[in-house]
Amino acid sequence: MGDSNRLTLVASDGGKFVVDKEVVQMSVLLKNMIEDLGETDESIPIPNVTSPVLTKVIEFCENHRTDAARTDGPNVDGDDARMRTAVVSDWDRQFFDVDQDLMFEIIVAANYLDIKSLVDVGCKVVADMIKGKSPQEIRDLFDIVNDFSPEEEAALRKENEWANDR
Amino acid sequence: MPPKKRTKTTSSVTAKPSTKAKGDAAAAARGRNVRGRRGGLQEMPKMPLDVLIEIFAFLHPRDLLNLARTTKDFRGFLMSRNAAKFWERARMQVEDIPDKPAHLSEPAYANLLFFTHCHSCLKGGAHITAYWEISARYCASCRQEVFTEKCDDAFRPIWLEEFEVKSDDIVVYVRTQSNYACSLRYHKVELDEVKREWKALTTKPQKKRYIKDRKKFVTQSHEIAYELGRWQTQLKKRAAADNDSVKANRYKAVLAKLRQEGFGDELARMDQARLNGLARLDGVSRATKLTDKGWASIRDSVVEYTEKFKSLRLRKQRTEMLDSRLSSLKHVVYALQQAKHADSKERLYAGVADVAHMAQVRTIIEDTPADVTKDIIKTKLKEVLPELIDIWVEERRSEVIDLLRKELTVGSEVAPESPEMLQLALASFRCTKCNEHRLRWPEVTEHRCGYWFNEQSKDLYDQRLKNYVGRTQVDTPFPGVKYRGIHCGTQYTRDVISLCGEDPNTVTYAEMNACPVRLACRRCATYAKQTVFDWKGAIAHDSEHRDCGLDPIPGRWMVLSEENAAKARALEEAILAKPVNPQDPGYSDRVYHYHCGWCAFDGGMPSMYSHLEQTHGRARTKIKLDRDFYMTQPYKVENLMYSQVFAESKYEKEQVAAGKAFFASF
Repeated sequence: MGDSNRLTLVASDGGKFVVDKEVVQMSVLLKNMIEDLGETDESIPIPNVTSPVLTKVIEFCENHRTDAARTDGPNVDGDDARMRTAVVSDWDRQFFDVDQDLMFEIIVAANYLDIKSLVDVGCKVVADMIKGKSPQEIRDLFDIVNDFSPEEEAALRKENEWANDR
Repeated sequence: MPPKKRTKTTSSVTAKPSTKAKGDAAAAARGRNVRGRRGGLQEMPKMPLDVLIEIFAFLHPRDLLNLARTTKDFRGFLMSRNAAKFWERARMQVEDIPDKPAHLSEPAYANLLFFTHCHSCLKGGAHITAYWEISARYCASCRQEVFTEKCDDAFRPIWLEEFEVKSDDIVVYVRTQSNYACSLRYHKVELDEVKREWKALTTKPQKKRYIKDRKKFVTQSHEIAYELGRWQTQLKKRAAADNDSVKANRYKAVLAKLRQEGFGDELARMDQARLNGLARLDGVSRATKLTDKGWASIRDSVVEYTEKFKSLRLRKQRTEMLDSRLSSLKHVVYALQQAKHADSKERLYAGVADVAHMAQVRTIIEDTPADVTKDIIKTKLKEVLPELIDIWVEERRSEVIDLLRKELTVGSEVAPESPEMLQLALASFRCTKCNEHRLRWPEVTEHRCGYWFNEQSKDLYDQRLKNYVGRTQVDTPFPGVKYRGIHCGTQYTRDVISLCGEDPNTVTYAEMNACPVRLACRRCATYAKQTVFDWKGAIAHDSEHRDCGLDPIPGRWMVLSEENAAKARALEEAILAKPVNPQDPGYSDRVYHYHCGWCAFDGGMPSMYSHLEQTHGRARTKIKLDRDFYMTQPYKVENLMYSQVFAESKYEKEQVAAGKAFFASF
């Protein structure tokens, strides 16, 4: 029997990670699962998350394990105050200073594992990238092709009604 | 195994396909300084819906609308009614924003509030006005197209007669303001719509209901406009306050940088006006945080401003020091000369500028440390000035003697240098500039017609000195010409002296003054009267006949008979015997001429009193002849000699009785 305070997580590509329970429990999804399973030595597979992404997620959780504001349960939907006050620390910014692919995967993984603080920080970082930018700058940032014709683009500035109202 | 979460996604967004295109986009992004690396977030619309919701929750309505304008997928997603909650959450994050009007969608409301382009021509710019009542923004030129002033004309017959309602009650109006007037205008689109809807109504109850609904809409529109106007004003105030705060911080940062570079002392010396000038400098007054790069770009102009202030401050300090010391110099020079010449027969007054340009004096004034007191400066000046002024007097004497030697030199026989030369009658000078003809040593040196003060000098010393010199104290001869305009001798003078029976090369001034000969001018003489002159008067009279040219006309003067000359001399003595009243400034200065006892000023009685008051601070009642000023040698007046034929003529009799003429036979 292994250390009862540690768990093994298995990434989608087979990579294994031995992590403190306390760290794992930052994920609401895994926390609920541990409670359902009770004491067990079984590894926990994370089918939607690859090893590089899981490495980053665990890094984040270990760094934030002592945060007072750590979520212990599911957040209430529409918690705007939480959204607005989400603070992106220097460490967090450094943490997300990665390739955009990886950033995207970390956020999706955090959402899947239900790690609110990581989702908040990730979304805030992405939102900050969008803020104050013109449509063209957003396209350039995210490598998106402009599929509007010039006429359509001009019309966009006049058309501000709900799509199904038109 | 954990349950697989259901992932909602939006429809896909087309990613840029080619690597080259990505590279170009990356370069463009670097150019715009956008943060983040190139990569997979082009798939953002494919993200789980709840992640997108999280992201959108951090965005401003303006960002959402920009996002909705990036691609068709984003637009389709964000402009669907399902996305209303994103918009609402984004809107709720905007501080104090008024509630959304019911007739506007969330994107339309965001577009109205946060995008300032003209809703007609779509151009941006500062000339665009928000018309909150009609939920639109228009530029000045489109305004002419979209608004009309004519509403009542179209509806009056219907409204007034049947329903007693004004057009303003059922059609939203806006106030437009030009340079000259404020007027009510109606939005053509809305007006047309109301007309169309009205025409479609057939029954009176329908029309009444319509009017009721319109009235409510119009009232609400104006209420919304009021709220939005207030919100906008607060927004501007807040933005201005934020701007001011950022500017203030930038200004403080600039001051800190200047202190780091050693300008702390200079900053401490700046008054508020100078500091305000610094704060208003183009690079300083920006509402952005000062970065090291930003400082590097504005440093030169800020340092230049500070250096300029330093330079001005030092110049001002030096100006004050020079002013104080030149003022001291002036008083010391005046006092010295007044004391020195009180009992002297030969008086030559050095001007302040003459003295100020003496090298030793200039050294004391300019090079003595700034903290040396005024009294010490005065003491130093008093020590050196007497000797320096004596040297200066001798230099001037030599100059005048040189002039005389040239006059007395005949052919190659150069006249010997002798101080006695100044006593010769020929040592009388005439200024060809102002025609002053009574100039002798030493007054000829004080006569500065040929001198000037160099107004254009860049030297601060010269510029400040200008305030301490008067018309007789300028010191610089016109370039290259010494004593310009001053002539001694001349053939006229020689002729007159010869007519009087004396040798021009040897007769002294005193001997000529005692000469009994009197002359009359043939050019002025008539059978009725002749003007009678002594030798000096005759020389002066020459200048009145400038048509004579440079050479005298032979026989131009008549020598009076001894009988008539005696009568002329008697009249001259009678005139000169009249008492002088120095307290009477109106006393004829035609006879007397005065010289200041403190400086080189000379003039008539009235001007002497003014001068003593203004320049030397002497009280008018305490001014005393032979102390504050003295009389220069009186010159003989010209007298009229009337023919005896007019002895009974009223006018001539009165003139003779007044002591201004005499009768004689000629």
